[in-house]
Formats: sequence, structure tokens, C-alpha cells
Amino acid sequence: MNPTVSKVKMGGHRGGNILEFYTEEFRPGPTTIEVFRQHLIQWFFAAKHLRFFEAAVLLKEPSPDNMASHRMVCSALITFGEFAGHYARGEENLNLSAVGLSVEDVEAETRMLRDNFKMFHDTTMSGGEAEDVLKKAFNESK
Amino acid sequence: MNRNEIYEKIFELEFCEPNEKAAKEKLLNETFSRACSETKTPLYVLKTAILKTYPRFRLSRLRREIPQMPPDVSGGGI
Repeated sequence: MNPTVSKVKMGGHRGGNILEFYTEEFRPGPTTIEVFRQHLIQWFFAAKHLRFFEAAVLLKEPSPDNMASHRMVCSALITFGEFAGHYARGEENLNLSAVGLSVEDVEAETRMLRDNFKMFHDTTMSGGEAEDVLKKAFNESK
Repeated sequence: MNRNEIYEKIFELEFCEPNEKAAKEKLLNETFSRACSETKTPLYVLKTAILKTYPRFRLSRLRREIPQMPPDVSGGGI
């Protein structure tokens, strides 16, 4: 027996494919359709809750811990949204309309969460620069 | 058009019912598109500037509409 065969390579037990590692490692475990629908409803609620947190905690000199929490939770919600949208498009028996939803609603919320992430963690434009852009665009200085 | 029209559309998308998300996003995208055209500003630049400044608008509107913010997010962690 070759002792090197059983060694775990970079990326875990998947032949060293690091991209496969991430898709598998963070894929939610299998659940029944009913449980999945419940998770989806809770996910919408969590996204709303995150926005209350942003409003209440992140506007005035937020602590590094709170910023880190936001980054982590927002990323997790985006990841779940991506998974849920993909799963919903591929699972014929899911029938989201039974709970009044559509896959388009899931995808729209996921994109909004990406924008929520940018609001607090995108450094391509400062607050002052953003104000300057908007004043010029909307002629607010006149 | 003024920037508040875009802020309002973002707010409506964020806090609408889950089954209204796709429709509200469509309205927001149309508003962004119209704003880009009217202001002759590239979408990426306008959207980044709006997202950067929107949280203050949101806080102000939430305070107006929900004076008592949910207690578990009013100062604690997530």
C-alpha cells in the first residue's frame, strides 16, 4: 500500500481541487422540502433583521467586532441565497408558490444583500466622494 | 428626479414582503436606469454613491416609522 495515497491533500479529500472544496464544504446539508421552505422564510426574516442591525449599530462609529460580525453574517446570508436560488431552480418538487414565493424573489433578495454588503465594506468610494458625486449629478449645490 | 426617489425604492425593496422582492427590484432598476440617463452618470458610479449614502436615509425613515427599534438589535450584536 502506498502510504501517500491516503494522505489528505490541500483542499481536503477531493483530489486537491480547492474550488470543489469550497462548494462542498459550505453546501447546506440535505433537508426535506418542508424544512427547506422554513429555512427560506427564516432567511428573509434574517435579512430584514440584518438591516435593522445596520441601522441601529453600524452608523455611528461601529466597533471592529460589530463590523466583523456584519461582514460574516451578510456573507453567510448571501451564500445561502445563492444556494437556495440554485436549488430552487433545479428542484421540481420544491413548489415555492405553496408559500407565496418565487425563485425570482430569492434571487432579488440575494442581490440586495450584496448591495447591503457594499454599503459597509466597499472602499472604492468614501462617504465624502459619494456626496460629491450625488451633488453634482442631481445639481444639489445650486 | 432627486436622489431621494432612489433611496425610497431601495427602502421599499429592503422592507417589502418576501413575495414582492422581484417586482420591487424591477422598479428600483428602472429608477436607476432613468437616473443614469437624466444625470449622465455611469451606473456603477451612481449606484456606488447611492449605496454609500443610503444608510443614513434608511435610519431616518426607520426612526420615523418605527420609533422603537427592535430591542435585540438596538445596541447588541447580531
